[in-house]
Amino acid sequence: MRRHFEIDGTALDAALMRHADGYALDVGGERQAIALSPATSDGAQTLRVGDRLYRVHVVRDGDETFVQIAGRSFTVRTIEPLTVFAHAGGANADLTARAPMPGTVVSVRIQPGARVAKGETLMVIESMKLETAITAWRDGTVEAVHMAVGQTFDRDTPLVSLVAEAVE
Amino acid sequence: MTHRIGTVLIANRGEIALRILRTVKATGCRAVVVFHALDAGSPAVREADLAVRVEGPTPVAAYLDAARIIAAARDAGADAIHPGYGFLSENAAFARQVAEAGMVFIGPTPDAIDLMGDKVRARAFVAARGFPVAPSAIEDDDPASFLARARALGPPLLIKPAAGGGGKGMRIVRDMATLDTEVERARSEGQRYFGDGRLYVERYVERPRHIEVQVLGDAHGTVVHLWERECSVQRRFQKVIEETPSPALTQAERRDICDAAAGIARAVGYRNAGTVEFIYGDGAFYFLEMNTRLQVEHPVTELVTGRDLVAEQLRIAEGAALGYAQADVRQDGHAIELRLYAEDPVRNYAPTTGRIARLRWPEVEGLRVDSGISEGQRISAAFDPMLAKVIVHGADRMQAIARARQALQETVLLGIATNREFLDRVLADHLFATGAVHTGFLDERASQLALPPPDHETLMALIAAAALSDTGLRGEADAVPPLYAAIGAWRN
Amino acid sequence: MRRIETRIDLRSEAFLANRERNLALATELREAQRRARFERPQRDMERLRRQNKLFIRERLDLLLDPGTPFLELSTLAANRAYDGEVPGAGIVSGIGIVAGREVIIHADDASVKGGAWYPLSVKKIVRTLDIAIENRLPVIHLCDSAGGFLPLQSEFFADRYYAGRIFRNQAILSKLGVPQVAVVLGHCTAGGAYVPALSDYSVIVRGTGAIFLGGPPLVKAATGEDVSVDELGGADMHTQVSGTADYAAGSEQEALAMARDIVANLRRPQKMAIEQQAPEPPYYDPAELYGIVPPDTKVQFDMREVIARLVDGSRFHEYQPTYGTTLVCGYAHLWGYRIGILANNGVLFNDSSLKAAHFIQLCDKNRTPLLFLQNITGFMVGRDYERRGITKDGAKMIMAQAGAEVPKVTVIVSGSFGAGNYGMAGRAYDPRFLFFWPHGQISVMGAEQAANVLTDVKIRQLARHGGTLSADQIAAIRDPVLEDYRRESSAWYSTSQMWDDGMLDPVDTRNALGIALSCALNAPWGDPRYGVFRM
Repeated sequence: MRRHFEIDGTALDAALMRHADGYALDVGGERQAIALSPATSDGAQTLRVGDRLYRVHVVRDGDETFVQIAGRSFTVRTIEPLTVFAHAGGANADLTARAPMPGTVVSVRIQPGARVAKGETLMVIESMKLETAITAWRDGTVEAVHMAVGQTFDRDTPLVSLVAEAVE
Repeated sequence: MTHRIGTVLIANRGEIALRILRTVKATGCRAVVVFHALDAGSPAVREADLAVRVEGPTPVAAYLDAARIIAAARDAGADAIHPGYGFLSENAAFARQVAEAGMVFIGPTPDAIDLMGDKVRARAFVAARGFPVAPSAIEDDDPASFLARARALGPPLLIKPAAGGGGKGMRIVRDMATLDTEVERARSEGQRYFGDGRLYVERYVERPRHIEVQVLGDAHGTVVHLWERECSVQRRFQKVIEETPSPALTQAERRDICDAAAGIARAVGYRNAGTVEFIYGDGAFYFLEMNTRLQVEHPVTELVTGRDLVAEQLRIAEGAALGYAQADVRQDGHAIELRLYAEDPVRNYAPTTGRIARLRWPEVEGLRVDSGISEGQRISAAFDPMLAKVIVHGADRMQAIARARQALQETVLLGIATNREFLDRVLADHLFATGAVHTGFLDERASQLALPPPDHETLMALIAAAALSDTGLRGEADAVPPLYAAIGAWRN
Repeated sequence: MRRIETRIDLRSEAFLANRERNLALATELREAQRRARFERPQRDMERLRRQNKLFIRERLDLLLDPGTPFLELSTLAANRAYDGEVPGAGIVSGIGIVAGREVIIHADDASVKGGAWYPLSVKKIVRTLDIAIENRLPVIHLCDSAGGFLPLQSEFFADRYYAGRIFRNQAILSKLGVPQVAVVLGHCTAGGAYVPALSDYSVIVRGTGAIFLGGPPLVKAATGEDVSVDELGGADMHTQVSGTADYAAGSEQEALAMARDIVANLRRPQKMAIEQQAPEPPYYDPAELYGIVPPDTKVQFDMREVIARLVDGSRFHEYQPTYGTTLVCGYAHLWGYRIGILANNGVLFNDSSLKAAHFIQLCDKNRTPLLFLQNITGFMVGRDYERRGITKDGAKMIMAQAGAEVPKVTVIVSGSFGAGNYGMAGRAYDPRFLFFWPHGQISVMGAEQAANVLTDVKIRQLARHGGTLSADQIAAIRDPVLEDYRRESSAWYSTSQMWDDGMLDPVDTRNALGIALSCALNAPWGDPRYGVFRM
């Protein structure tokens, strides 16, 4: 059954299916038997992929799976196909500017209802002593400002939304 | 005059609050901690004898609310306040208010804080007493001749704003022909960032090394140094790795720098713990500034000298004499500290937030972890992103590096991106191994130190782990009737 | 149950000769299927790409659960019709797993004549829906058709089981509570518009999908109205205004993902409970089938050897092993399901006919599905046999078989001639599935026999007037008959005409039967009862 996976900017589609008494993974036609053992007392598990065995730590939280493998830590995001399609394309895909990194709002330059031109600064955010301007990605009207001056936010938090344009 | 301290209020958070708290309790005192709601689940709050909630317009502001903190201390029956580092630790007004409230400020005198807090004033004080400062030209001395004096210094030069700090507005000049234009630019930036266009110019040391010296002074005028720390591995003026002893110094240079630091502290009449920072390069060293507080990287000093600096701070604050002399302070072995940050090296070190899903510190010989985090804790963007300090001690630098690498590799930290793997890559770097570091080291070797993207096999393993821990996805795979699962992908 | 003890010598000349020829036939079958499934004129594939459409096989890959089988039915329909230009009759039909559920798929193949419905296309769709009704299988329609192929309308429009039957079947499926999901990936025009309209759920692709009783040219001709495809019957209009379609998708991929999501929400049917145990592969290698069955319907072989390569553990409980020995009857397990097998080992005599009738009743009472393995030239003829009531006994066999309540599945292993086809559950007796092995043959009588009969008739006719026939003249009568019979009795012809549900490579039979039995259990069946047995 298919899912879309994102790891550190790399996106891959894969399918999980039953195989013999366990499971197999198919990534782009490459199919391998896989298994994950139950956790030992320190939380570590053994992951088998084809012929290879790895000692891993795996924690799942919502759509994210945190994996420590071969000394490195990764975050794997799992997205269902219908969600991928819902987010893809369309004139109204980019309605909202989201925070590129965690930070705080330093200043807000606009109000709901304001007409803005492409490139105009909407809001200034600060993160790790670096200031970044959030600018309008197209001409439009501000629909909502989601954060107030002084508010702290995480990455991907919606900051400013523009009104959806009518589809031709 | 000594007076016993019974209860200490720690006006700080994170790893340092916990570290101070543990020594406070170990010496038999009561520990009180203030905390903002975001830190409610932190280890310090859990281990304190009493935890008092504070609020503010921002989370950081809560820890800067002097009046509320002093009130909390009084209400809790505290007779001393330890400010930690950052926040109010170098705020002379706060130190005075604490004293006025009848409590002991565990740190230097307000006057010492004032003197060393003004960078130009501190520089002048130190130079006047014959300690080395970088050759300079101060505009204020004589604006008319400033440019000429600057040119006379010779390249390379560093132009600094007089009212500045934190690395902002500084410009390096290597080609004297550009001096005039660079000065103008620096002036307008100084005006823009600090509202003050005045400048001073210093000789710039190429590939400078940041060497600092720990000092302790008691109320009876005794000052000792506890040797040096090298803090050259930095990015954007933020320290990442510190160690002691410095691999750069000869024994003679070590003695000179440390003696100078002790001399400066003595000249200030310094009391309690402090650090004198120097720039070192081409065999020479220059006074940079003095930090009138306990520093983040103090544990490396503790591990090689065998002394608990917070315990020393408490004793000194009580009025006790130091009780030992310079000759009693020895360096034994080598210590390295690695700062674990909530940042993503892959995304240009952007700060990361999230919940710590799993945390396991390893068991390694010589390892000490000063951590302010626990499993399940939420890390937000409200505070400094340092999560913990991984500190190791070894018989020599090589052993310390080996132990540090082992500690990093065996640490399990899941839920947010950190610089854990990046730190290991720095330790593995052959130039780092030779000790040839300087403040531009990380930037210079950025591409060699960059983490390679995961290879194909690792990606497969990651997807497999994610797929198998996804109960919904497994359920979908399990939904296939057994007959069909057994036949598999067959076509007639 | 005892394991069948094989007497096949894997090194005998006969075995090796059979094997060589049967492997060649199997290869020929696979090649023909491959071409029918995948080979298309370049311009047809380019047209699909221009229209932003996926090839039917890509659509199926996206729809079906990864790692699961797909039993495709009648792949070679129309292979001997329409000059071979309509592979598969332009329809893909098969049973597979979508979101963990057993479904049957009816998919228009737009790469074949734009997905136009030829008479055999209509027959294939009707058969697909008949299977759905008989086995209560949820249906997924992948709609993408140019409409009926008008030049041949007299062969697909007016009669009872022609195009109208498609929509009648849809209505009956719905009445039975069997869900249908339509995915509109192209045009659904005129009659075709009813496919999504009669489905419980319909998804339509924006831009390429459209539903209308008459397209823009017809509307313009009929009323003078000028209207675009999208305005007349596009995704947004039908999902926002008319309510004819339920979900609008931005792409085919999204539409198929939506269809999967819909199926995931369907109720799982209750299956009839029959005796079952853990499945076990046959003890003997199924590949040995190639060497066991002679590729010539006139040559005898022991059906037990075939059974031994199909059933679990090669174990077989034979019923009446010493009576009526030209019909082998017994119980076995196939993919764990307990079944009753009737298999020909020669002509049907009185005793074998009675044995069949009795065994069928036993299985009916026992709630045991029946598997018929055909290799039959017919019932015994002759004076003695008629006096003993061979016709009556055959009738009893047919009465039992036709009246059986339990599901039946038939495989024509070699020959299927005359009334033997009837007794052994041929097409007319509604086996849930009927499959054909590549070398098999089916006709009212054998080609030689028919040729001899016709020649004989001619000779007698002439003899009445005193004439005779030369060898050449005899040949001139015999040869065309032989040729016609051979052509029209081959498995290829049968499958082209859709007299069966597909040809099978013998080694694929076990999997096909497993799936067939699994599907058959979705529909309930009643308690045994029969007409009158002429005793």
